[in-house]
Amino acid sequence: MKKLKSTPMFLIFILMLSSCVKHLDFNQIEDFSAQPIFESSLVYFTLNQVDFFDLINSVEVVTPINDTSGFTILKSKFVQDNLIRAELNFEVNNQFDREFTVNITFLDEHNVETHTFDPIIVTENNHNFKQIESITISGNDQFLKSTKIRVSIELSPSSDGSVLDPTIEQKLEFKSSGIFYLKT
Amino acid sequence: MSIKQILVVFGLSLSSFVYSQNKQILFGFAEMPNTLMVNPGAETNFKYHGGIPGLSGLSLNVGASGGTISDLFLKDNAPFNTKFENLTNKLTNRDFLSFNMQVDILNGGYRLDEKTYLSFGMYQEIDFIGYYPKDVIELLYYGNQPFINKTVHFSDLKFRGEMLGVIHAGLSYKMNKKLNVGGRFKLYSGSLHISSKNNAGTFNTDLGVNNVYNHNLTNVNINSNSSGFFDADENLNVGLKDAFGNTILSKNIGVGVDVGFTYHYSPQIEFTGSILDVGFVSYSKNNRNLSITGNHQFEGINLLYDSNNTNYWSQLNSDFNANVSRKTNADSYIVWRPIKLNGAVRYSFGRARTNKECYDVTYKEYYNNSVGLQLYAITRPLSTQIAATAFLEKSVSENFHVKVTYTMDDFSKSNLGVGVSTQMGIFQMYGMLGNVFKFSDLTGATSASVQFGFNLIFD
Repeated sequence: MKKLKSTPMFLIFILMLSSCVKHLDFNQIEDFSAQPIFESSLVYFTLNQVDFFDLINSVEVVTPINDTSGFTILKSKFVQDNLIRAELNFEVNNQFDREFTVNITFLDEHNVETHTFDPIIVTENNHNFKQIESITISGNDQFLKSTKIRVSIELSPSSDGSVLDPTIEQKLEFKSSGIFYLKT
Repeated sequence: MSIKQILVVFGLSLSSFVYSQNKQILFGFAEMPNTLMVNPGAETNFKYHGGIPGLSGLSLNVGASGGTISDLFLKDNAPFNTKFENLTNKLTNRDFLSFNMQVDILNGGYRLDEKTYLSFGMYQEIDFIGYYPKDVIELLYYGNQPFINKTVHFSDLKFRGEMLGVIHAGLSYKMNKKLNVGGRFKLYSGSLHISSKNNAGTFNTDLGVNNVYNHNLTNVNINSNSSGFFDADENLNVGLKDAFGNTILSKNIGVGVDVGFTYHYSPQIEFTGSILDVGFVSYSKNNRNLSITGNHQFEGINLLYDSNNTNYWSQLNSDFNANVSRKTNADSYIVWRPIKLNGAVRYSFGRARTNKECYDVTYKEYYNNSVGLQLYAITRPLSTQIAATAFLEKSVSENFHVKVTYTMDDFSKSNLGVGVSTQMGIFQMYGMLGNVFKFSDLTGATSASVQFGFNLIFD
């Protein structure tokens, strides 16, 4: 009885798979490959003159200021297997009459550097600064260990000895996005 | 499941055989036992019948709106991705693939008295319909880059599939010379079910204010129900053996009815109609239901430089989880069966012959020719699907009948079908082909159908 129940269904399956499909090649599916391109916002921040001024001592902060964010996306098996390369796009609106250097560094969980981009040097009053950095990720085992990104900003000293006025609002706007090329 | 797997599954199912449940050739044809399954009010003129187990009714009808197998798999050395892209470009979110198989395991009948014929049996059914989720497939295949400033609609996600066994018993009853009515009670035993419909929400990537892009999930409401696919540990676990076994008396029980009639307006003009599968199945075994709801906006990680050592990443995750809720449960649920409607008008003409048996005290006379029109409708997740058929039926002899149909439906506007029914002694068989012009090369057809069956009929 048990056999009887399922036999007709199997019969039909076999019929379906075997009839009239002579000049077809189902193995073509092996050649199939999706190559989606995803774009995403990454980190951003806005800093004012006051963020680069030590109000207590009334001096400019000349050492780089840092912030770090963790991320776990590179731990994903899917990303490790399929992310081929990434292009990172940085946009800066610098209203300061000072030059800035932004250093972007990737770190592993032990805070060991895994990758660093060329310094992003933004000249004074450059409201439309753009820089694109590309990184190959497929097979880049060192980069794939990254779990943190550190963005450090360093204010360059003025050429004429003038000092920032923290009472004037002038902004440093930093935006970033990534284009991620996948292949499955 | 990776993007590739999802797309491969989609591609395979797109190219698989598809069965629309319209049995336009069988409906009203030659007073065979199997016509009782599409109209319980069909007239019969035999004492009893027995289907040959497993072979009394096999039917297969194949097709896909908007695409054919050869679109993807023709051996033409064209790059597969190009073919995939060409096919998906021409598909819209109203295109669908549907798949249905019904196999009679047992089918029999017995005349209770001059007016009443009892028929009963059991069949297995697999039914699937999936609409092409254009936005979602394109998002997975191309990524969101081509979608910047465009919207991905989750409402495109619509599918339902089920596998069940049906035990049924029906009566065809002659009210008077003109009217024959019938009804069939069905006991469903659900084995597998999965569906997702009434989904809502959008995903879009726009130019941002604080950062380059602003990503939005808006009014997301995605639901799915499944039964029989996941075990108690929520692992995907579905075996064919269990699936077939559960088509007999599983815990997922449902009931339904078919009703139908045959009305002779005059000796030559006949109206027939039926409504099938008005019923439901209550699924409770190995259920897994999922619901995702919420709104979320993402502009990136805002570094604060405030020396608080903020854990931005976990904040991001907790924001997302707070905004978009993802709930699963194993609650029971009820699924209505797709209701099918058949209607026909038939005009008979030609040489009349006398009634064949003494208990067949019908108003009708037998003519050797008839023509008519049929309408078929089935309730589907997006909208009711309708097919219209014109037919010509000819009795070559008392025991050999031919029916030719021309059908217009979602698959095609020119589907020509042919059916034959013959009886040799007590052995009756029928065979039907839909979309015959395409049959030598099924792969280029959007639809095609085969139905056949063997019965023993005792006049």
